[in-house]
Amino acid sequence: MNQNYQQRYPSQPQYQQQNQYQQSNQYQTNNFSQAKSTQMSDRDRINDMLATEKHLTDAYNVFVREASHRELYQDTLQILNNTHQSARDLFNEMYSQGWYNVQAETAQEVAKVQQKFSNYQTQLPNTNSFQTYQNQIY
Amino acid sequence: MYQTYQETTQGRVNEPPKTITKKDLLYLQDALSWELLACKKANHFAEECQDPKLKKCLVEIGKRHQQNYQVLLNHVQPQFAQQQYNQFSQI
Repeated sequence: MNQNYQQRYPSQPQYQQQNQYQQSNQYQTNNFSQAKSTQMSDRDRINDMLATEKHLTDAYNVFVREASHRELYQDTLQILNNTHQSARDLFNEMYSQGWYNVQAETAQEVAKVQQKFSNYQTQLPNTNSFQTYQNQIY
Repeated sequence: MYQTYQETTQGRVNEPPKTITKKDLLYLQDALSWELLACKKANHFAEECQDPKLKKCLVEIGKRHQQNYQVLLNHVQPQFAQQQYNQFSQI
């Protein structure tokens, strides 16, 4: 498990430190230039658009759930999917600009949760089929 | 997926007929205005954006909203609705 994690995110801590530095830099310059202006910045625009997409996914979720016939259901479900994709694209764009900060959880904390819920597996009613599934993925 | 549904000349078994209900129409109206606004907004922001990368992203999103708008508009068809309404009320 730990090895896997290391392989997937080999230089995560270093990268993050670097990123944080860039981020605070960018944030400051951004903030500084914004301090004098009431104009919307690129960051504000992207943020507003992301808020719109977030709202749309919520709204479409209700629409999809209550659509009557099959074709309407399928089309609105596709639109819901597209909207999630747009929100994701915006998020990625913001992340690449250093406007979003993500912090990796330590392996110990992950291990605690894994231990806890591995033990709870005994409570699952379909034990046999789950074990088969588990064997397939590990 | 389609094969699992049984269809007869009268309509579909175990699922609603292909008819726009009153509720559907209200939702479609709402969704069309959401898409219109979102499309306008994305385009407006794209024009204002300084960073070409962000501009491109917003243009793409604007296009996606326009496509969604067309898909929704295809569901609002009076002639089709009339036909279906007649069939629906005969059953």
